[in-house]
Amino acid sequence: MMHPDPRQLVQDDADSFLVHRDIYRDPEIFEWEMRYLFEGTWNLVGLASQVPRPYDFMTTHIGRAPVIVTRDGNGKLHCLLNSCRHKGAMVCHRRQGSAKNFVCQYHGWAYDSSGRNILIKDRAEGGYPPCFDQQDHNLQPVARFAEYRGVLFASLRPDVPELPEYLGDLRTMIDLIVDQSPDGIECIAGQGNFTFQGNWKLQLENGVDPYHFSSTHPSYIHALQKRGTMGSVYSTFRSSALERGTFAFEHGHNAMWGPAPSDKATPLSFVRDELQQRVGEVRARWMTYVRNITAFPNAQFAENASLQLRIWRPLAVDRTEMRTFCLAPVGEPAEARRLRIRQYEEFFNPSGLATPDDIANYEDSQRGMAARAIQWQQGHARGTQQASAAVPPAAAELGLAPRSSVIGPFNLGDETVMQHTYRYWRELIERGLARDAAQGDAP
Amino acid sequence: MNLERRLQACDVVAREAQYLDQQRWQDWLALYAEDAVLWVPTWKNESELADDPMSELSFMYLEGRAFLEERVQRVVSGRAVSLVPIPRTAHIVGGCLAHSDDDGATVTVESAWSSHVHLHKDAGLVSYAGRYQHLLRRDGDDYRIARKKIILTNDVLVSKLDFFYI
Repeated sequence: MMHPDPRQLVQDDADSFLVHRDIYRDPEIFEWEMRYLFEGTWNLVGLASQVPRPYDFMTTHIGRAPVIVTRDGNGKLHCLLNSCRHKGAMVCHRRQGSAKNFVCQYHGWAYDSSGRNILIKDRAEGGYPPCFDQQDHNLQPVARFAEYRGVLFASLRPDVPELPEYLGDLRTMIDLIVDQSPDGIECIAGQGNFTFQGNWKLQLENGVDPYHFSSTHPSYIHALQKRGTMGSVYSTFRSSALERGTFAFEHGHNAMWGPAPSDKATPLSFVRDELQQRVGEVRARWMTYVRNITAFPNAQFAENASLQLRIWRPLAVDRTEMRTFCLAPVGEPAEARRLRIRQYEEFFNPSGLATPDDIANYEDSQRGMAARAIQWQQGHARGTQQASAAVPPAAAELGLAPRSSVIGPFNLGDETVMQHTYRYWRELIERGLARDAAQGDAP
Repeated sequence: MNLERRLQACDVVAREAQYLDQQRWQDWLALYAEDAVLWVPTWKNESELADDPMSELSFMYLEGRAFLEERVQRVVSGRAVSLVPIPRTAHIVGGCLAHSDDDGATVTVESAWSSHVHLHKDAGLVSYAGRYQHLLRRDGDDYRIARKKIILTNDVLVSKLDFFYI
């Protein structure tokens, strides 16, 4: 379509909720998403424990903007645009490391670990106009940068809610991760990064899609069942006694969860008693549940027999970069750590027994959606009859008040959890378009 | 180590590539010892490879041939979305250097490899490259693979990889 209307892309009637396929395939809509979602609100940029010591840094992106997260000599964290003020070149070139200064390789301008400009090469001989001294030559910080319990968030725009308000009930779901050790969580060394030929929302949706598991991952389930004695959180996935649920939170965030059929083989079972004493029965039990949570718009945590943080960066309407990290409670027993790593590798790795099949499905969906004669997805309807705004006991025991919940048998496979995410998606885009129209500033 | 054993050891490395490319999975498995380890470490950053699979992440750390059999089963089962149809591969292995400190009872073969993977859909061709380190153990008249380490140069994966891509 020539000039898509966001209200026409997410149709939200009393008895039906439909998402238009152009949101996965139209470059103009992708441009809106970059401008109004990724460059318009809070993004998860990483963990403070990735830069533990003074002068540690890591690099990432917020939308299209390259950024450096750096800890200065006093231990204070900064999130800076990775672009020299002189001619724009990136001043930091590695994924992570330690550096007291960032020196631009082009003309030698230098910045300290807080981003303060400490050198303009040959300044005295430069014949600069007087106004040059009035300009700010420091690396530009992002508009907003804040931390929730060691999880770092940044926004390129200043007009966003305060971080605690933005996260809302998602904070409790983050607590269930951070509190797995008295000393918090850390990234295990080594990364499994990849790109895929598909729209980023295919990952966004799949991460909280309980419906796909039995049809996408039969080879994984079969392998675990064949191992037999090793047990698995998924080996009894057909059990009708099991309940699973989804929570839709404010600001696009959400969660999918299900009690672990067996926690015999999970790394947290090694510290079960310590957890119960420190965080109480309810939270200790929730930590053993299978849980996937979305920090909208750019990240998910997924926990089953191990714990993953995945951060995505949309590269094009049909191309996405994934950075994935194996997380672990600080100081867990070596045997638990070894088990965690092996189970992470076989499930979460892009070279494992499960994730490659998810990725293959994203790419097949993207290929299939080239059929432009089909306009509307039928992918967000399951669970409509069960979705409720009432607070269920499962949420109440954690002190949560989701906007909508679905709780039911294993094979219910709720899809309505994405509806609130897409409502917020539309809200941010409508608001952004209106703001730009008022300022005469089209994307 | 005499020349015959040196050639025999380098032959195992070449045969492994051949079996993978020809999808002769049982022949491939037979090259491995029962307790074999197949290890593909991740990179910690641009210059440092993970070196402790018990505390650092690997792309794969398969300890025991049973885990290799599980991978093969996944390929031939037709149940794995990402392996239907099975991609075709062509491995190129070169620069084999064999050395032994025990007159050929165990031999380490180091080599460079690249692999071209044809993915059928979109006629996609993906390349991976790196170095192999095979530890071979004498078993009767031949060698078996006791341990194989695959160093992957391009660690930002093109969507995914499986054991036979690399």
